[in-house]
Amino acid sequence: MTVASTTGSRSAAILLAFAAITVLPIIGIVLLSLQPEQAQLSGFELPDRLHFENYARAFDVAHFASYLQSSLIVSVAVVVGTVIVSTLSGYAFGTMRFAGEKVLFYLLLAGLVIPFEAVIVPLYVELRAGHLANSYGSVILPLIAINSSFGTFWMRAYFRQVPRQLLEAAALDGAGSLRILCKVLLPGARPALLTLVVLVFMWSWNEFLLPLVMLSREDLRTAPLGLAFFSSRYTTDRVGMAAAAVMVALPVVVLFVATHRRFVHGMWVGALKS
Amino acid sequence: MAVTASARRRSALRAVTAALIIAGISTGCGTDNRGGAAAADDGGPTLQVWTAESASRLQLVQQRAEQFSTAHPGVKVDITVRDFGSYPAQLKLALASDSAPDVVVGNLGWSLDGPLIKAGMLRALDPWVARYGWDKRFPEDAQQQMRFTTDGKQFGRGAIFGIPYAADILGWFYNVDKLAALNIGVPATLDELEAALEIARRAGEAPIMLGNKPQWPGLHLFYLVSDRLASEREINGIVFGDRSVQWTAPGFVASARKVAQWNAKGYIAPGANSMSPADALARFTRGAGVFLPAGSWNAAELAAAMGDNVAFFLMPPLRKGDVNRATGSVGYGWHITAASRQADLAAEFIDFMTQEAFAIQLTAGGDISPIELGERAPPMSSRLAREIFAAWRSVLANGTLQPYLDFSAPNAGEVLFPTMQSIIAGRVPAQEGLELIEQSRQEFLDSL
Amino acid sequence: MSARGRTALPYLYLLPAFLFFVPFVLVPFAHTVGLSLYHWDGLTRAAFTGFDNYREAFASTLVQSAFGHALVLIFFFGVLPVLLALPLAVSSARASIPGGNALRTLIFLPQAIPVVVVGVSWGWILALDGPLNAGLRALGLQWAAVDWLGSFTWALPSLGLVGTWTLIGLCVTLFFAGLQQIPASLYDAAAVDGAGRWREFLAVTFPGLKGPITVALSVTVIAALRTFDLVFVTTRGGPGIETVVPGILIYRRAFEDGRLGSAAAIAVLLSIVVFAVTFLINRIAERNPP
Repeated sequence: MTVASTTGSRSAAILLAFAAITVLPIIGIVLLSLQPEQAQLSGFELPDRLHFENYARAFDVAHFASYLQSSLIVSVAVVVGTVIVSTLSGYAFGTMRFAGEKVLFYLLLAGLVIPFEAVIVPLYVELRAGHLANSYGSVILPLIAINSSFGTFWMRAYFRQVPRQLLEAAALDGAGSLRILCKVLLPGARPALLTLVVLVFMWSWNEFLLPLVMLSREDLRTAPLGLAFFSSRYTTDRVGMAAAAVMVALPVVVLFVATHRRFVHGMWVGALKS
Repeated sequence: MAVTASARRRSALRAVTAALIIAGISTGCGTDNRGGAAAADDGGPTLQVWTAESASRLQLVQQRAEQFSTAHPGVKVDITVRDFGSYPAQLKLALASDSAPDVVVGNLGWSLDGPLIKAGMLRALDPWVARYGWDKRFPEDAQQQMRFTTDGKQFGRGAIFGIPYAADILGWFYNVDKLAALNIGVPATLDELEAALEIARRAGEAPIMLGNKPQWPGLHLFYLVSDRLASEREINGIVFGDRSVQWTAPGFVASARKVAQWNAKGYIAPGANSMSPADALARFTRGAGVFLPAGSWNAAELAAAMGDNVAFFLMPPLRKGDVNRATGSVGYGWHITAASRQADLAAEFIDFMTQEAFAIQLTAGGDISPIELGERAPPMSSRLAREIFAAWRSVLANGTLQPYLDFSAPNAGEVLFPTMQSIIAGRVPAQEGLELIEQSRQEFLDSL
Repeated sequence: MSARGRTALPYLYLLPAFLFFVPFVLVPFAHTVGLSLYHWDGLTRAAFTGFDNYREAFASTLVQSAFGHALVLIFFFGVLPVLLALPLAVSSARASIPGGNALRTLIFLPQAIPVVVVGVSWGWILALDGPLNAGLRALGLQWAAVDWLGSFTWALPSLGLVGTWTLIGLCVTLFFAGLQQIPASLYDAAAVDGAGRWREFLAVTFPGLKGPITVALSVTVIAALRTFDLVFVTTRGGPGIETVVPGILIYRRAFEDGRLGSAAAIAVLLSIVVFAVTFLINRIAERNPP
């Protein structure tokens, strides 16, 4: 009993220490973002008051309103596209048997390991030739493509664990395959879909190399790009940089915190089962 | 119980998702509206302009561009700014895209202009040179830096491709009070400079403030020394593709060794390798460091922050009284892109941006102009501005302006910059590092 | 059996995914392989040069260093987080810790933050006059306060530790989820056999975590090899070439220096390394069944 409780408190302490190490830098940046504009500080200091005007400055002056909007457009479009495409392909791989099933599945799965660096050069050349560079499409379409690998893998795992009898019963009732998907399978797929939505949203929001190469027009640039260029142009405005950084991270962090219980659990249990 | 909790959570999630999608759709519509409105309210042309300028120079350029819009009703100027380090790659991407800008700032020689001209992305400006008298606006010597052969193979000859607007010269800024407190005079020879650095170090000061994170500021420090230790023939040979001259020439080796030695002796402020030039400058204005080796483009910033507590001198000679020499240029120029469909308007813009009126605005603030203003120079607000103006005039008068060695080849970011940083840090011996740099230059010359 | 051959239906369902995947991933990848055999500036005519770009890459100390640095990052992004997360997950799973879930969520949080934000933030924290050094000085460790990202010695490990910071939460979460799957009966059996904590770990816990460890290593190692954003916003490869990674070289050569063929060759080499390492990790896991 005593042994258990001391080891319990020891592991609690270790966990707490790691959580502290994780959170400390984040708190530091948030505090920095609320300092007066010309603050010269090193270390964690509480600001004299909360200078939210740094956020207003980053939002208006440094174009972050436009950057965040671009990121939102791109991420939402990629999420919608990926979810639709992956549900359909995951449905086929998870519930149907057909010639070439394995080959096609592993082909698609290659997208999980192909680094973006390995496709970026031709992608850029081709999209430029197709007059697509410098449009949201040049970022959205490749992101749907690369994310559909994980999406298919993910939705297949979900559809495979649905009891066969359920499908067979529906088929006996004369339901077509699309009807089965929509009426029988999808209602129960909400947790799996939610995890997919959150992950793909995060990945799209955070994507850097692709928009860096594709979007040279200022009004199209996404938030991470905006932040990267802001931080290298205004190296002395650390407070503004911190405010911009917090703004860029906030949407994904909020989404993550709002969904984490379901998401973290669902994600890994699912990943490990398949 | 559990069911209701999870149901509640689920509905909360649904709300979040729905809100996101709605927000996405509405902001998406917002863009359309804005775009439509912009096109509707004035059908006039918009000039897309790209630059890597920053700080006070950027402000002047932006002001002048606004004046251009005022003088040309209906014409809008849209300026895109990238930091100097990201600029070359980003500019090339933009130039190759469907929405290529009309007017762009390049960088002299092979550092940026050459590859762009070779790829056919910039226009020779001949049709407009005579119309606007650009060939008479700038001193003869300076025009060499504006020229490139139209096949993009030879720098310094051929057609005029870029029109400069702000010149630059490298030298030493110093903190006047600190020099006085340390009881040091303005160094008149290289030896005196080194002695001053040593005195500053012993007094616990950081002798040299340097922000070398982007790796080219260290190279500029090297230029200050090589201006004195390397010969004019060696420097011009490297820049203009003379194969009989190499980076391993004794003058360059000695210069690299000297800068590495300064670093080893602790003359360069700690943290230089992770500090941006703007950070270094900000620190210098707040009293850190005795000397700031840097370009004249920083003068307006420094004078505004330090008043008459900052002054400037060119790299002192080996022997007292020798003629001054300095690395500098008439400045990178404005270019018209091959893709621009409004080249005449672009030329009009370039002319406006490079007129004497702009030169006078620039000079008043402490920057220098490629136009020789002579007696027409405006009253200058600071001691620093006057010193830099005088230094620039004397170098032009003596014909001792040396080109930047990084004009000599592209991809300086891959070899020249990092290798020089390693040499200065003592991580790579000078001779060995310069061999590496020379090898990359040879490869480039072979590829022409 | 009945579905097979009777209908084109499955292929119809796959069509949308492949309509994206083929033109935007598969074809470009094949194109990269082809491009790596050419010298091309991206604008004028390309010249076929066979394996020239590969020869150049193998001979170049810069390319070698870039891959070497990526290997160092594998240690910090993959090996270290797994080694730290294992005891953390195991000890916290056995003891019921109040608020344990919340703490694990916190540790996972960096995973959700855009890498650019992570880079910009740590750039400030690791600065010579940044909070980390301020902390060290406050503890009387002046000698330990160095210019982390400007140091030829410390820049790469510092970036590596930023990766550790980001990825440890992912490993903890994975392992924790894996531990929940291990049947309690196995632990009871081990206890009956009189196994100590260490024996129990080797006999029950570790084999049970084989799957999660494989997933964790695959994900983190790919992240290490693909590093680009973090370096781009912090050091851009400096000081010297100490933090140049393959991604930076590919971006620079393709889009800054107009050497698209060389960039493609490095990209192919990078892909091969990624494939090989992922394959190896999964192979080792398969070879040693629990």
